[in-house]
Amino acid sequence: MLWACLHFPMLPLEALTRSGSDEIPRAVAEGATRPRILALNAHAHRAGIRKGMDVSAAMALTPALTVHARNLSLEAQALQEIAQWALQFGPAPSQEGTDCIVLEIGGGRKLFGGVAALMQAIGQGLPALGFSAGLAAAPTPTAASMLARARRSCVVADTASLARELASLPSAALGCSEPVLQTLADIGVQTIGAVLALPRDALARRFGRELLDILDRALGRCPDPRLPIVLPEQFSTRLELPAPAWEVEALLFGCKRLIAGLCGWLRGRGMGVMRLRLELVHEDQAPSAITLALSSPSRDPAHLTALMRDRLERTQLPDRVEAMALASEQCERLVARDLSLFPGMEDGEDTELIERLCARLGDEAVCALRPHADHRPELAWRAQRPTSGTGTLLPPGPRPLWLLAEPEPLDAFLANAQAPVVLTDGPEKIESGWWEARDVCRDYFVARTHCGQTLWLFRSENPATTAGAGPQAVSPKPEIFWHVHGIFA
Amino acid sequence: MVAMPTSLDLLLQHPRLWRGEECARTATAVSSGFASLDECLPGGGWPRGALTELFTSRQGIGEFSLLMPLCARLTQSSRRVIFIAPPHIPYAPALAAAGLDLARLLLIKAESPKDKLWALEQSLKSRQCGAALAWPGTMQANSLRRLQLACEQGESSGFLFMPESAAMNASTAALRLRLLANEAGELEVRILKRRGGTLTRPVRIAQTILRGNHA
Repeated sequence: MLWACLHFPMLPLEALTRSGSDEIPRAVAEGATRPRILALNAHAHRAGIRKGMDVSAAMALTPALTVHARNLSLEAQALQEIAQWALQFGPAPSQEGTDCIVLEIGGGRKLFGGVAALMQAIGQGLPALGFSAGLAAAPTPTAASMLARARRSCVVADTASLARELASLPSAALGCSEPVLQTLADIGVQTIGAVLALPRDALARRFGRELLDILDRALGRCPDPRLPIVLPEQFSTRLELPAPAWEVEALLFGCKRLIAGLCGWLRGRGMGVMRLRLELVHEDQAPSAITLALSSPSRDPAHLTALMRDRLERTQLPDRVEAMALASEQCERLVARDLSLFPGMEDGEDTELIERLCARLGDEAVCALRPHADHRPELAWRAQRPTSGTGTLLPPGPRPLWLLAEPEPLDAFLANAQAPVVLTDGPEKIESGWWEARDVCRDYFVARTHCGQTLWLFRSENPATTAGAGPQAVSPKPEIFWHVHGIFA
Repeated sequence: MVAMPTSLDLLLQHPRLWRGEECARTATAVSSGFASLDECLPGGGWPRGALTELFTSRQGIGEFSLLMPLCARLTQSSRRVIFIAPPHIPYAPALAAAGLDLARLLLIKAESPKDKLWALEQSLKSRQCGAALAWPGTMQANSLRRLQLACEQGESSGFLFMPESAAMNASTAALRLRLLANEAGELEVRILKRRGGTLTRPVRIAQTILRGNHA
């Protein structure tokens, strides 16, 4: 067993501000009567503010300091989101205290190419979510969290060397209750090594079971079961913006955080998202929603972000956005697909192109064509979704590459109506559709005009109406009409 | 001492190197399907990874048929052929008869010039796209440059059908052709610009050959 611990020392601040860029001194304070600084960013640290300072003292140092009240529910939500994301590295992440996630990673060692590579993958993925973490791994979860909390980013692989590694940690890293720590300090025991050197029965008599339990669990002498966080079936996360915004870039910044979390969750479940929904919450207005439908399941953050950018750029927002929520509406298992023999010919890029075009121009603007079994030329083709297959059906006679949406009277089509038109092929009689209103009775010809154009004409006895032939006045001698229906371009 | 001729050869093979006396031989090109036209085009066909402009004053002289062999070959080798904002309905039965695999054909409707340009650029950039044909109406010089870059990135061929009036404008397109119908009923292709010197002699393609494969 190998447990990794992700410790988030900045969680109180990051839970509040990760959706925006960090440019001003910010701090989070806790306490009802005399609030004290709990976490602060680099700008605030540079201004001389330190953890544990009174808010009044901090404000005196830097009047520009923005102080947020601690929001425990947001922190819990953030941990939940990190746990969802961490699912890709270990099967059952669980929460440790209020600022740590522990997960068993021994099983994934081989997949990621060693513990070091796995820890590196975790460390590199977290900044995209907007969190900074201390990482450590040890054979027991308690020891891993002690190391992570003490900022020893090391990997202790076996139980034998565990005691030696823990020995140098300060006794505060034990994480036991305040009176116990105070007593330890009073008797001059500064490190865990010194605690371990004390006789066991004396420790039990003086401190009770608590301290011994912690030591035993840390060293793997007694079982240390963990309760995994129960994750919902669909991904859903909300992000508060530090300041209301409607600039696409500002919204996209938060959006990227959410998408990074989503993609981690998808990887953990071996799935790709088919449809996701981004809800933008305004102060006074009803929330605006953007639904993104994909033609194939995806969990590529860059692709999803690019699609979201296109949609955000085209969405008219009624008001500034205060918060955003991302939810997966439909996910599908990603099936293994064969890679092409030649690089760069994979289908993935193809569907990405179609999705990108659809996202901006609309679904109906991008289509494929297929022939349709109908004798009437205007009905002998269909537009369809670009990803579905097509059949082939060869026409009986010459067909033009361009079909006019509506047949045009020949006289109106020609620039010079006086010049003769030479019929070069035809007639091809097409008579069909009497069973519905759109019946057709035409003689088709291929014709060349004097200026070298090749046209597809038809001769009919009624004025050609595609909308349906109403009751025509029957004249004793039917008139002949010529229409252009296509161009041999 | 061996490195010298090798690097010179490499230099001479570079498609951007302009040699006056003949067509740049090694420019990547795809056969147009018409032998008489291939002879006059650098590399022996439509340029790959470059933009081609086709100027016509009227429709129906065979301007679209000229590209059908290319489209057919590309779709059959499962690369995308994309039509952007065509002036009429591309007629599926005729396209199928011309040998196109319609499953690889994509039709994009776009209204505004900005959307047309964007869709064309995205299509050309995609490595999956073999050729994109567009009817943009007019085109700014800097837009042409962007499209040319997109072609290079995606190694795709871009074709722009332009009104004849636009032939006077400066352009970065690798190949510029004027298409017209002559008295004999042939399609006359005049090469306005190609990589490797201009050609004064027009190429004539008879209608029967032009439509031979699908009429």
